[in-house]
Amino acid sequence: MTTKLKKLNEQVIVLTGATSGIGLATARMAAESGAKLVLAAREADALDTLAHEMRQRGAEVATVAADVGVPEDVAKIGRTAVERFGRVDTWINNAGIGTFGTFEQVSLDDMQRLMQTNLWGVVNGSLEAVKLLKAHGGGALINVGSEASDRAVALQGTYSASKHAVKAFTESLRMELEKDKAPISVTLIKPAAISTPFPMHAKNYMEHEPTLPAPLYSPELVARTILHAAEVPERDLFVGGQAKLMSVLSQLLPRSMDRFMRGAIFKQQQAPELSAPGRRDALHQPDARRELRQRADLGDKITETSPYTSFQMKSTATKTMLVGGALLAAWALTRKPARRVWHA
Amino acid sequence: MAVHLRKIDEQVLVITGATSGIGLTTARMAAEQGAKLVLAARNAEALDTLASELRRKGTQVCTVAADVGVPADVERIGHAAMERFGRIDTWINNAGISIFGRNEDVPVEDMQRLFQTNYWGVVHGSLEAVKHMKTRGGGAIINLGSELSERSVPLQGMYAASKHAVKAFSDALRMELEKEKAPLSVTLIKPAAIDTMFAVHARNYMDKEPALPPPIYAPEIVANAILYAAQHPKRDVFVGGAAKAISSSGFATPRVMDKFMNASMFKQQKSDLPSSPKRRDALYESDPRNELRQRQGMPGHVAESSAYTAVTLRSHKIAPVLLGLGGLLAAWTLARRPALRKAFG
Repeated sequence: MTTKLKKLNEQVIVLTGATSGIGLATARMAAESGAKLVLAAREADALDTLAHEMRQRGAEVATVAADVGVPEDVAKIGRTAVERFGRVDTWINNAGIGTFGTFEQVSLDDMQRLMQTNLWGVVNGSLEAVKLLKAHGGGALINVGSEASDRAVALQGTYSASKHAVKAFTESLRMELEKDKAPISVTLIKPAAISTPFPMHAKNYMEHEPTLPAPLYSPELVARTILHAAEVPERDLFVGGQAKLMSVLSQLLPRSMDRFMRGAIFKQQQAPELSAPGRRDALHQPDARRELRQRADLGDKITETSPYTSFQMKSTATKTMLVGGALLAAWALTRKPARRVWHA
Repeated sequence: MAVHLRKIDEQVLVITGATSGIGLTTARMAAEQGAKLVLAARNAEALDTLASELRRKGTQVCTVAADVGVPADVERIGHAAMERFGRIDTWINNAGISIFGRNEDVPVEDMQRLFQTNYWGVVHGSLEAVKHMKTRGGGAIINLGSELSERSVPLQGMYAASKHAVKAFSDALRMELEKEKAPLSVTLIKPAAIDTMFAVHARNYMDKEPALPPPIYAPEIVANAILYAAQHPKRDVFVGGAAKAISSSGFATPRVMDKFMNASMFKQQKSDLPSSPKRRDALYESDPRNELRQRQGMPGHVAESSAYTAVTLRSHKIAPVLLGLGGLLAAWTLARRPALRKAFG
């Protein structure tokens, strides 16, 4: 892709799901980099608090209370961006929600609601983004998928289906825009398990509180990856080497992955605590008591860096040198040492 | 999988989308092999015509006019099967529809309608199947995915998204059922381009009539694979070597595939004929003028067999033989190496 993208401090960035987790980390990091921000989420109070925090540091921020599953709300996000800043340079579809439970347990209504946010929210956002980006000289469309875009996870089946669908939709849109020669970079971000309030916001049907299996990566790592894609055209980026590993193993050894998941994932997604009756979640409505938190803060070990993630973001020249150098070293080390004939 | 599946002539099969294409071909093939059938589709008349045809040949058939996107309709299918035959051995979620057009040109309502049939229809059907089959001896749930379950394509973005979602659903359901040790096999069928009424029934937002890119395969190959999976537990089956090729190269070299598809898929998914303004499709309602046809008769060559699929269906016998031969070959090659020969005298 030869699309030219601006530096962050020259950009207007739209971001959905901005008041929590990955979205919040990305919003703060983008503000610090000098970008102008249009932040969307369902909870107006949380947005106001966040905007106030950022404006005190000199950031220019517009906020839109919006549910990405509602097309009119997404149109409002686009209108706000153009009215306030005159254009959009990067649009990040990040808002997402989960459910934990088997397909037999989770209600159809809850499954539909999840899909409305995770898939249709991305469709609505992407189509609005393309319209605005085309009208204002191009830019970047960044959709947040998941490692579950490549491999389904038991107990998070509908979430996995939504992220698979996001991957396919993003892929077809990318090809169509390239055919048009539109100056738009389309990126799919595929994070591994990240320490955010995701399990607490998810609706839970299991006996125990949901949690995610280790390794848990930091939301800041995802934010850095997203903002890299806002400046450098990328097709897709895993966040966390674990995500790449799962993807490759699932393609090559699907049955083994089934067996591995069966042995591990049912236990690893249930915390020791029982699920409290009357437990609140953010599936149908935002959970106002749990806004503005980037991390889960559960005392889990959080992996702050990922060599694989950094590797992906290096330039083609650097990657070629690194891989080429590694192959050369491997070849050199496996050569038979030359036989020296000693003459007495 | 230690699931035991009966022979077809002892089975009760539920088939959705039974009045056209792959569903119709499978229904006729299953009837010929002696199965009892529960056939579902939206068009009651087409179902009646099909049922008469099959009953004249001695098949026991029950029909249910149903839209798989409506949970209550799918419950009626399950209920009818249990009332008429007392059990279900195989449930085939086959009903599906497409839209051709750029994502920017397709109204989101149409996309959602497609998803309601292709994804939620499969969810409703699978969960209804699990309800009736889990504690009554088990059986097979067979979901129609696509090569587009693994790799997307331009001009059919939401179709590909729906088939990706069907794959994820099937994979997660399979793990959840295996955890419970349910006696159910969950199979994902992933056909390449098949000569059915797919392009005729699809809604179209392009300037030309939709077409499918070669290689195009016969629906009988898919029906065969479905009925095989109804009798032998299989995780997933590509139908047509091209489907496997798209999946593997799409995974290994996605940018190459992007460029390849941009060079070919815009031309090859459009026929030479302009799209008629009076064109009917089957997205929201069935199209009664185009029912009960297995094939459209797509132009160009239609492959009547697939060596790839034939080998993979029977691979549980071939694979150990090939591995054994491979092992022997490796041993012989190693034995010939001078260093080893010296070491072992």
